[in-house]
Amino acid sequence: MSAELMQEPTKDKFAVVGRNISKSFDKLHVLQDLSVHIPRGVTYCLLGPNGSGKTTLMRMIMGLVKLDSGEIYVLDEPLDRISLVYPRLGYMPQQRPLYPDLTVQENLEFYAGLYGIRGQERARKIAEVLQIVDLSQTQNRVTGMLSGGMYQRISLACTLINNPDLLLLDEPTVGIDPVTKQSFWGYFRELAKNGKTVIITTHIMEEAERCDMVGFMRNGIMLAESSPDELKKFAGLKKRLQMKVEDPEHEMAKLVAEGLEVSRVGDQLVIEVTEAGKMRDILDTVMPVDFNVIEPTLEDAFLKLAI
Amino acid sequence: MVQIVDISQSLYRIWSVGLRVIRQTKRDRRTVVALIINPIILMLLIGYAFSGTFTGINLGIVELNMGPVQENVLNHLQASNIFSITYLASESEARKLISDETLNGVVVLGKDEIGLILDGTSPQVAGSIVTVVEAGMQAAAMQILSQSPAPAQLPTITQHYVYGYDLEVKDSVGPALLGVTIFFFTSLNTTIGFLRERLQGTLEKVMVSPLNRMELVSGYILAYLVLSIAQSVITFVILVVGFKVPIGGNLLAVLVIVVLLSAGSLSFGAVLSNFVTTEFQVMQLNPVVTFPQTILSGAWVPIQSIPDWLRPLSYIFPLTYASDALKLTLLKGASLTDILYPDIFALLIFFVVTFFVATFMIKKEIA
Ligand SMILES: Nc1ncnc2c1ncn2[C@@H]1O[C@H](COP(=O)(O)OP(=O)(O)OP(=O)(O)O)[C@@H](O)[C@H]1O
Ligand SMILES: [Mg+2]
Repeated sequence: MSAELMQEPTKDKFAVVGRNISKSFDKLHVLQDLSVHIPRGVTYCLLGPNGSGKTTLMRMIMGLVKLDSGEIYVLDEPLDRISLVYPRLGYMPQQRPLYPDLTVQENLEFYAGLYGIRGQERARKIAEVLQIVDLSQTQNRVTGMLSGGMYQRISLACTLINNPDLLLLDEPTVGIDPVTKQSFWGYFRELAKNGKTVIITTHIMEEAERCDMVGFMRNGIMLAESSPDELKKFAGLKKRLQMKVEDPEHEMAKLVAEGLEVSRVGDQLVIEVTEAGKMRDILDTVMPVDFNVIEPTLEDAFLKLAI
Repeated sequence: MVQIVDISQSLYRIWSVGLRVIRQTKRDRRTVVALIINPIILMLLIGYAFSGTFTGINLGIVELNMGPVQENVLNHLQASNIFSITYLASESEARKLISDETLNGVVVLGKDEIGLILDGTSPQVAGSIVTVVEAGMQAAAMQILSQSPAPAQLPTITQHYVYGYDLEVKDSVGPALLGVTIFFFTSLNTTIGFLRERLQGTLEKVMVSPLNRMELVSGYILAYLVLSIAQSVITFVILVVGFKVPIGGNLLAVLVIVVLLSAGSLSFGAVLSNFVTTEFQVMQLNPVVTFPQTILSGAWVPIQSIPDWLRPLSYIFPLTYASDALKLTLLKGASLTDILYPDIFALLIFFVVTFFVATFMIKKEIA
């Protein structure tokens, strides 16, 4: 492979590549020298606390916010040619972009019209996206009269109308009931399997954990980009063994004598463990009444990294 | 960068936006009512007369037979500082000068008759000429009565309107108010329309679609053309059926005026939407921008009654040209070529400038 080809990392592999992005609003630094790499065909989660710059980054990717410095490529196009990829984008803003005075059908027809979808194809496509959000029966209802969660689901339906290659969903599952949420996630994964790229912002750990990749943001800085598992490793998190014992005082002394770091909560002892073999040794030594292996969660990683 | 735009796709997108705006308007009962009721209320309001001080009325005087009464009337006209007087040789010349709008009226001082030939399209101007002539007659009558020997017969005053029908104030203000109504309705609704698009996030979503800014504004224009034309038709019906205003206009010319004015007002409204963040602010800002324009446009009061120092303002407001053009086409039967300059020309400039500013500013509002 020649050196020239190596310099084109956006080709094929990545849907979005951003390098050294900085942005301030007045004197507030919202993004600081941030880089982001979003591979094609994955669900990618932008995770971070409120105000960490997730929405700003997402809007930047679509050319809605100007960069102070840095560069972004979206589906191989630089930002100054971003409008070329608009037909292939599906954006669901944090504020749900529907016309409340129109019916569901009319909203969908409008968005379909923007993409030149008409006639038979439009009818078919509208039926399809309503099926996905499971709201086929609301077709003729006035959008503003729908419940909050339904409004949200229709908004997602509008985002899917043009069969986008790159979806940018800003907190798409807020206010959605658990059953629907489950089906949304199933659908997002299906999209990724079919080669679409789905970018989702959230500050909910369980959601991030379902994504192929997580970009972990704080104060406008990208702390880490990796799979959820790697992120936990990155945060230096280990499994923990939690044991219920009869004589915590005595058992604790035994373990400390072996050079282990033990913490005690009531009659429970907690030890961080690295290897499986080590765990058996400990169980043999202590002979607990009951025990539990606690897997590290992304939340632990989040709390550890965010502080 | 050159982008190849597929025209039929582009037109379809514009159509989608236009259809959506019309559907939204249709869904909003209050807007529909406003669309129909506004012109009716405005027309009814015109029932009351306007007063004001006039200056710069171009008056012609034909001295046919000067007696003491005639002299007295002439002195009154000369003493009044609201007229700029031209002395004419004949009555036929006078009529011609009124027709081509050089004069607002002519006083023919004859032996038995003082004839007033007045421009029917400006009743208030005509009224003030009548007032001064009558005052002169009265003064003359007093003098004559106090004289002995027995006074001569006083000449009678006859009023004659050049356009064949006697127009009342509402007749002449009506057409101009069509312009005001379109301007108000369209600019207010688009300011709020664009503001809502921004607040509800639809603008942002629309910007990330193949629809470009020019198509977005064009879609709005398409919708408001339909609405404005509907409103014009309603106003016509009210004028013709309700008020029996003789409309001798060239409807094609009227259509062109309505189309240009509403397209311009719409783009103007879109520009304004960039300066507001709440609908409450729209209600505060809109009058500030539209009232002076309405008052100074010659729709409510003739341009002649506007103080000299304010008059330049009248000439920069698009509504002035729209009012003028609508009066000319509807009441005087002017054709498109008659109003091409300055009216149509001015409205065209208004539209082009606001359209590009509106289009340009949509992008700017996204940080
Ligand atoms: N147009 C703007 N003008 C000024 N400040 C802005 C603007 N847009 C965003 N900000 C600021 O940038 C920071 C990041 O905002 P952003 O919306 O990107 O956060 P977020 O990570 O999406 O938060 P959340 O989880 O609450 O949605 C915030 O402090 C916000 O106030
Ligand atoms: Mg956000």
